[in-house]
Amino acid sequence: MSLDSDIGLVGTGVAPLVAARHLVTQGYSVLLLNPDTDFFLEDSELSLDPLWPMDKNTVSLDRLLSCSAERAVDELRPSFPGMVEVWSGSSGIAESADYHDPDAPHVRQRSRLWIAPRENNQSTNKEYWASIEEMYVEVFDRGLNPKTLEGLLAARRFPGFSLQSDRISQKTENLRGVQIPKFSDVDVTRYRNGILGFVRERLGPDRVVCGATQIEIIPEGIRFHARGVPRTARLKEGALIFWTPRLTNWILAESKRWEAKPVMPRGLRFFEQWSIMSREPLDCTVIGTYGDLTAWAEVEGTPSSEQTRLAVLRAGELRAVGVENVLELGLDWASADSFNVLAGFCNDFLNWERFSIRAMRPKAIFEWKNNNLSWSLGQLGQHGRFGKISHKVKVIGGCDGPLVNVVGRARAACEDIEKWRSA
Amino acid sequence: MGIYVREGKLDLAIVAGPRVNDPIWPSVGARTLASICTKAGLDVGMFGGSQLIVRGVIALPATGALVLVEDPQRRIHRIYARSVVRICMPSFLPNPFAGWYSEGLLPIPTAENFAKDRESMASFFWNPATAILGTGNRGLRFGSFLLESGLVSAVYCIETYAQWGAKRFAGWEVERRRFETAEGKIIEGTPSSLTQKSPVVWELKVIDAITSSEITFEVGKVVSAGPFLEITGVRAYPPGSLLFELEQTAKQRREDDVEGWVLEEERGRMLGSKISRLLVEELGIQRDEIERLNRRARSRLKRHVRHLENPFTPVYQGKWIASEDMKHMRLFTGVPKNAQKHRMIASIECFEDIPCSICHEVCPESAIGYRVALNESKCTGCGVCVVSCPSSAIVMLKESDDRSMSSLALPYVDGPQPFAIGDSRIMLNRRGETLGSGRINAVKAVKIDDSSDIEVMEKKIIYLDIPTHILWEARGIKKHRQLVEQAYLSTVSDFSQAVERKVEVTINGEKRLVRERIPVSTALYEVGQSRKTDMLGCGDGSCGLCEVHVDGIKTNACQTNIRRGMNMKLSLPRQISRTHAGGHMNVHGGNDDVICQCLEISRQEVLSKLKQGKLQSVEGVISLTHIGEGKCHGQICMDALRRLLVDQGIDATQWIDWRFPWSDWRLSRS
Repeated sequence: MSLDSDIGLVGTGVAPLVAARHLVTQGYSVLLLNPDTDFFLEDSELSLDPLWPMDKNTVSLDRLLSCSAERAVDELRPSFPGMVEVWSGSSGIAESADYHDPDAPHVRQRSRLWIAPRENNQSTNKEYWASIEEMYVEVFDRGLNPKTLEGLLAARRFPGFSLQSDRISQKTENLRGVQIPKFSDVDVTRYRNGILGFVRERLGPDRVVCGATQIEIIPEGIRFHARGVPRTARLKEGALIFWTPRLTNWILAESKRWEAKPVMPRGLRFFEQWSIMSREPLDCTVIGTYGDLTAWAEVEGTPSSEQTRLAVLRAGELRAVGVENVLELGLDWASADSFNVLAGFCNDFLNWERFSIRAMRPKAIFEWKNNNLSWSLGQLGQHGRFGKISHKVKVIGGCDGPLVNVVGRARAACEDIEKWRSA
Repeated sequence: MGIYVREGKLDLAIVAGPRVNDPIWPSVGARTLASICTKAGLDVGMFGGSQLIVRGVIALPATGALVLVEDPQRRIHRIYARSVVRICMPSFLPNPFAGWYSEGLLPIPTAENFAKDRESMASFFWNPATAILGTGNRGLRFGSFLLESGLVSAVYCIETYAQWGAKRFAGWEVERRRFETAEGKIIEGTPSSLTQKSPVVWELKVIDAITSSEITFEVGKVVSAGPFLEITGVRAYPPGSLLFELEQTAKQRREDDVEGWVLEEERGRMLGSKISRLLVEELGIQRDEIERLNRRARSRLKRHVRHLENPFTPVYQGKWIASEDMKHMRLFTGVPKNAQKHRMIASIECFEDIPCSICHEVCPESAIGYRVALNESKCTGCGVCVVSCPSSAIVMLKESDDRSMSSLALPYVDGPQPFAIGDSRIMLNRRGETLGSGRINAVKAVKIDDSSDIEVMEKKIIYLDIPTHILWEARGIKKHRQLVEQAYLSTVSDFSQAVERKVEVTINGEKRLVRERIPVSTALYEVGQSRKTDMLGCGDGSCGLCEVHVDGIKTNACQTNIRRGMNMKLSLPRQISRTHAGGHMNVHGGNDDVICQCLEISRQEVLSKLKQGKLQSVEGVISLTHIGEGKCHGQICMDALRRLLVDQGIDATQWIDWRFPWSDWRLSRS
């Protein structure tokens, strides 16, 4: 069966699927290649923006506003072949009283709460709190109704904080917090699997190729191996490569081959997402941040009153991206630092005597310097070492991280294709 | 004071997975693998057992993995290894059917532990009959043990014929003969429901594979002796990575399961040589040796597989083996040709090519060659091989042409059945059918030469005079029903006397008498208050399912021993919060369609999500359905899921569950 297509898509996460969905509905023929044995093995999408590191350079007002439930719905609904439900957080009932699909991916509206100890002479903590205070002012000016909270009042809002313990101490009284309403988190798994099912059905098994190896951009199109058989596909319009950490080596090698200068990310940040069991039901209306930890009640769909799994996302070091340091990737996961920070968080802050880890998922996500996240691997008519390329090949960055951003980026990449055609 | 984490680095880490524990750890496969890799110059570490609990492995994006281990002082050891081999327990649990997840069903390792504990109320436990789901060597051997030791009067091994084929390993026919000689019955069928009739009796319904009719058994317990899926014993996942899984098929002693031992050893060799080739840059002069090891291990493993294609199952004409097959058996190298006419001599009757060589090793006269070739001139009829054979496949005989009676000596396990010289016994053929009767004329204990390193349980040889015409057919002795009942009753009276050795404890407010110093989990079974979650009986607390509050402190029932005056609180079964479309609620409130008991995820849900999302990988199914994300971390449900996915065409046979940690990990500040 001929795999010649208008557009080739290469990627391992949800971004190429979103792009495929849009392109197919616009009438393009699409070939989707995934070097992994299946989609989402990298698990590089986040359900929320960790807003880390908290400083004015990285967490601007625009970035805060982009975390709202409205924006999430605006980005996610057009790209999803079904319903995206919204949970407002107040009564547990979805916004729409008419019909509610409990199995649909949900956007949950939750407030964000930043907490830090008041008296701490460390300069990093002072800077951190100063950034939060600046954020408070900006958000206040925008009319988003932030609140400042002190002591136990701040702490008790934090998901997982235990009031039943007799360990509540002076430390708790020294806490201060800022709460901003109307942030959101999304059901990543339901969303991306929904799109996956749709794309697989529309494109068929021949045009969604998992386990594609030895992928090579060639002048007329793309060449790869699937199940040990070499295949070649001509691409009429071009190819989009959705860059996640898994594809780094290949992209850098291809850019060298085609003598293209890659736009490199600022670095690769490692995250750990821990799932910890709480003895008491958790407050599902708040996402809390304490230092470099972001915690929320782990929920799928509409929260119930019995949620006891606390998700804790810890941001790790930012590491340089390059072939030479590939062997060091992931060595920070589950380090001594991680365990001690987690223990401090659970024992000292949440006042738990002990904590049980149910799961830990490591993640690696790119951080970018600015919004210029895409670059051309090959231009129409360009001569590479291996011949004249007859189509456009673009590498799209920002295909990992908060799901809302990933979906937005993938859709924007599709809109660019129209510009190619008209250019 | 914080959490102490110590860093380490190794070339190869061999880690014990959940339920791989003392006293088997480190098993023969792990030792062989470690030895080969160490000789090749790699830094190898082994982590497991009760002293070093492995909490899990984190696969790294590039190569290698992090292994996290906790020691008794609660210090965490975080080791980066270029390659990791996880030793895992094979699967034992069946596909879900109505009532399977109940106190009536035990996985076979738990059942074996209970059966070994002779002082327990074992006969109450297993009678009136025991059903074993699965017809593999381990299941058949366990059934033979229960029958020979007189713990139970009837044992049924239940499985469809299609599954038998996958089990026809080296030694299978030998175990089957032993089981049937002991009057065990093999039933071709599939279990359909298990319901409790009384505190100690369960009703198991089985759909007969041939007639499709329903057969009902009344049993004391159902033992699940998987595996129920043909799967390679060595897995590598992700593909191309240096992360492997090796199945532990060996038991503590080689003679407990010879083929399991040999298989694991050969797999360890194959994997060790493979890892050495991949990790050691310059093997130098060792290269040839490692290649040779690898080739030899692969060819021996192929031999096991070839055995599946060439089983030997004699044809019967009535109760007698057909003459062609009998001729074939008489020509076997281990069977005497002439000497039996003059004196008592061994007859080694494992007619298949199996890897066991115990008789060759223990024979003090070196009369048995490596491939079971009997040297008749050297055999003195001492009987050492008879009592050493773990499958009771060796007898001694003296054939009298001119007299109507000949002599036969059989291995006999001490059990509650009394016997006396002069008693007569009914003789059975290899299918457990009555042939005639014989008279006991001697019972002799056999001493093993001290130079042998094979331990022998206390066995005796029983000498019988039997009619000559059944000499080559009779291989078992029938238990008289009366004797079994006497033995049963004597256990009852022993139990009454044993009451004096018991201590009083409180369980959920009720005072009970239980034996002192046994694990709480065993005590709960003895008093009939075991819970479904106690079933795994992992023995090292790694499954974390048997939690119990003892004197106000939460602890694992398998790790805590009974002492006088203990106050125990057991968690009550959770209320089932929802029913599933298409499933049935069983009498215990559990849904028979449920695969994941922790999160109540049914088979139908998995199938519909599979279809809806067109999922093609195990990770995809798990992320969407959340199976295995409950308290058991997949220890109860993951194998059933794997079988379901294989049935649906998803390649799940090589998949290794690397999710971290692999059981709930409780931490507190030191």
